[in-house]
Order: sequence, then C-alpha cells, then structure tokens
Amino acid sequence: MTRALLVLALAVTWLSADDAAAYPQLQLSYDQTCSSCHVSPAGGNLLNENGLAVAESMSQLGTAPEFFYGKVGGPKWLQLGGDIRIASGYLQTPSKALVTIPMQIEAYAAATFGAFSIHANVGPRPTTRGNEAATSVWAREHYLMWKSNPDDHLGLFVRAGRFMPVYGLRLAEHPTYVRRYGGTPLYADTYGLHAAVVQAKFEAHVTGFIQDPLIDTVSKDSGAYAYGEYRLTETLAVGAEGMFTHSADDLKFGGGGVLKAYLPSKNLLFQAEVQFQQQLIHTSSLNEAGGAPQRLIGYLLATWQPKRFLMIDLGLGHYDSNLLVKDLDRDCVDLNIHWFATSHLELILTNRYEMLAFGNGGPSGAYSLLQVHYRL
Amino acid sequence: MQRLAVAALLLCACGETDDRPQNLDYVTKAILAPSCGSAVCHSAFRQEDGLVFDTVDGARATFQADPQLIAFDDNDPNKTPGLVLNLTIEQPGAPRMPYDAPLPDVDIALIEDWLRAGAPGVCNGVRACLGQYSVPCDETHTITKDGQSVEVPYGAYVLSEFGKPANLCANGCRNGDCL
Repeated sequence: MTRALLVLALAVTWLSADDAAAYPQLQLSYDQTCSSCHVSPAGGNLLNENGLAVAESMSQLGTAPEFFYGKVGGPKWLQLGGDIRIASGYLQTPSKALVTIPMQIEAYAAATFGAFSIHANVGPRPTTRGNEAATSVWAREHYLMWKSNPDDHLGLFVRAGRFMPVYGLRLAEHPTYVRRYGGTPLYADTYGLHAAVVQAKFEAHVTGFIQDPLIDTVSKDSGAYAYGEYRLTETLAVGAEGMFTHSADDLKFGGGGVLKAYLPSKNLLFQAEVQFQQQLIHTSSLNEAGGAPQRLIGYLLATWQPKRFLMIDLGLGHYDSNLLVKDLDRDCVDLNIHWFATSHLELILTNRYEMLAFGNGGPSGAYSLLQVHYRL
Repeated sequence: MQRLAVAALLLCACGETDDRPQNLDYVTKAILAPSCGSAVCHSAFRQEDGLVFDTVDGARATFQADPQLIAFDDNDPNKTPGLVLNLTIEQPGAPRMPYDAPLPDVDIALIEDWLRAGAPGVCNGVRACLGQYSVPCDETHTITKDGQSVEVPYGAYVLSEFGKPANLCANGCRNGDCL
C-alpha cells in the first residue's frame, strides 16, 4: 500500500500543474476588466500598476507589491514577474493518496516600446516521456502585442504568438469543468492571433489559432474562439461565446453564455457559464459510424469576501460528456478558501467532491489540497 | 398531434440507450482523450508511462505497442484486458485510473464491449479484415499457435496475432478486403 501511495504521489506530480491565470473573482467587485489589473487583455501573468496596488490593498500584511519587493531595479521599458505554486494534500478519486505537487515555477518578462510590447514566460514544464532532455524547459507564452492606447488599459489590443485562446470565464483553477472539458484545458496554449476591444462597458475577443507546429501539444486543434461581454451596470455583466475547432480526428463547434452579478452590500459575486459543444468524429473506413457526442458543461461560482484578505469560493460544476447517453453526467462541489497573506503570498485550500450521475454512474471522488502561491 | 407525440417519444428516448460506435476512433475521442489524455497524463505532450490517448493515432500506437492493454489471454478469452483492469480496480503499485476524476461506468462498459468486439481500429485494418465487424463475439476462427491450429473467438484479441504487420491493410479495409 505504501508503495502504491508513493507511485501515485509521483504519478500525480503534475496533477494540478497550473498556469498563471487571473482571478475573475475580482472582476466587478474591484474593477470592470481584466486589463484593469493585468498587462494582458485576457488577464493572467504580469500585473500592471493598478494590479500591484490591488494586490497590496487586499493582502492582510501588505508589503511592497513590486517584483522582488521593488529591490530589483531595471529600465522602465522592462517589466519582470513570476509565479511559484506548490500544493499538497489528499486525493481519493477513488484511489487514496497523499500527494505533493509542484504546480508552477515561471518567470515573466515584458518589454514595452510605445504601442508594442514583447511578452515571454519561461519555466520548467512536465517533460515528455522519452524526450526529457529536450522538453524540460519551455516558454509557455510568448507573443508580440500592439495596444492602441499605450497608457491606458482600455482600447484595441492585438496579440500574435503563443498564448491561451480567450474563451469563457478564464478561471485560474484549471480543474473547473468549463476549463478542463471546455475550451481552455491546462497547457492548451498555442500559436494564434488575438484581437480584443476592451472598454468599460463591454469587451470582445476573437482568437484564431493553429495546432502548435513545433512541439507535441495538449491541444491538437486549430480553430477560432470568440467571446463578448457586455456590462449592463457596474455590477451586472452578460457574455456570449462561440467556438469552432478541427483536428485530424474530429471537429467541434459550440457556444455558450456567461453571467456575472455582484452584490456590493453582501460582498458577494456570482459567476455562471454554460457551454454546449458538438463534436463530430471523422468517419473513415475503420469508423464508418463517426460519432457525434453532444457535451454540456456548466459552472456556477459564488465568491464571498468576508475580509479584504479572505476570499471564499463555492462552485457547482456540471459536465455531461454526451447528452444522448444516460448516466454520463458528473457534478462537483468545489470549496476554495484563499488567504492573501501578503502582497506576494497566498495560501489556498482547495476542495472538491465529485459524483457521477448523482452516485448512480460510478464511484465518487474527492480531494483536498493546500496550495502555496508566491508571486515574485 | 402526431408530431408532438413523436417529439415526446424522442425526448423520452434521449439519454436512454447507448448505441455509440464501438471502435478506436470513437473510444479515443469521446472517452479516452478527455478523461485520460489530459495535459500532464497520457497526452502526446506528457506521454506518462509511454501511453498516449489524446489522438486516434497515438492510442493506436499505444495499443499496438502494448497489446496486453486490450488483449484477451490466448488460453483464457475471458481474461480481462489491462485497460479495463486499470479503469476498474486499484492494482499493486498503480492507482485506479483516471486518478484525478473517476470514469463513468457506462463508458467503461462501452470500452469492454469494444474490446470484446476485437478492438476494431487498433491494428489499422488487420482486425477489420479478420471480420470482427460482422462476426458475433461468440464465433471462433482458427489461428496457428506454436505450429498448431487453435480455435479462438473472433471477439477476442490473441497476443500471437501481433506478430503480423500492423499495416497489413495500410489504407484500411471493408468487408474483408484491403482498400
């Protein structure tokens, strides 16, 4: 049993490997757009000046929010950052195991020259078995960005390079169904062209992308995503999305909707996303029937901040891998508690309980992990 | 009224039957890829334990390289293939798979049915040419093993057959003939 646990612990080394996505839990409650706090119009990775100020103000102990506490100088055109995440805890899905997971060690750099900027992330990656030497380090994201208003977080943005296509809620937690089974699973970053219009009242994103021609990637798809969000008031937003992808094996198309509502009096934010996906598996001489699973993916997230440094997420997920077949649905309850200790240090207790067809479709699963997140 | 009745029947029927295709393409893209072929597991990106399940070609190569995953035993056609074992029980030194989220029983049942049908699609046409598309699983055919003729079920893989070139029908086949 001990050996089994050890093997499992090693096997899941990268179970919850992460990428640095933004916290859309802070949208509407703090500001209206991702670009209010992040350099990228899609959120994630480097924070801008306002984002650093938010990181400081919402932490319990403060501390200088800049890269290495502002002790490392550099030219104004160069911005540096990074994220380190490690998690440890208990898994029962249904095999039982104690796990420790190095999730992310990444450094970010952005060099800005007027309206143009170059962005790159560098860090270790999960290696490809049998090709470890050539696959131990990567630049998960690297792109060139043009911004119509260099001194403003609003305006027109165009990115070309390698990044995650923009779709849906863009939660940091990649196990959420809308990411894992939706359009943006972990490490689905690939080469593409992203155009975005971001205004206080609305934003729209269109991303065209291709399968990464350089490395074995997670996503084998080429296609396009579109996402639009309209903020009816400062505390209420609705969104719509559409996608089309094709690969050597199948094509997928679908769409969905997003709703975000913030109740200032309760300091409570609700976010919901529903995605529908039609998959068409290619027919061939060995697969004359093809196959056409219809997927439904949903997530409802309630976020409560009882204190400025404490954020509690309660999420309900639903995923049906084929609406045409009974008992293929799964549901989960997520409870994540974030403690922003300092401007740089965050502790997150993540918990999930998952059921298949409400207990009638197979074994249930659960995990509880304590994650340490340090932003450089 | 008649249309309404038909619509109601269709709605009732929705989700009640499992007539999904039993072949490698479907099993891979509808079940294995989203559940087993995720980023840090059995994707081409990671290839954990040398297994790839996120593309049909990757899964085919995986099964061809490790036929124990899909093969029934030569002497015991009812012996459970490794893939089904991995998906259903915890074995010494190995957790039940997928380790991060359990697989629905209905999907495991489809995989078992697919394997009992001879895992169509794995051998790039070899199995199709042997006729497993049209032959019930309880019918047998004769193979030569250790110089002797042995009767084995069509619906069961036999390890000795993997000595044959996997690309016997390079472009697939139909009704027993290579295309």
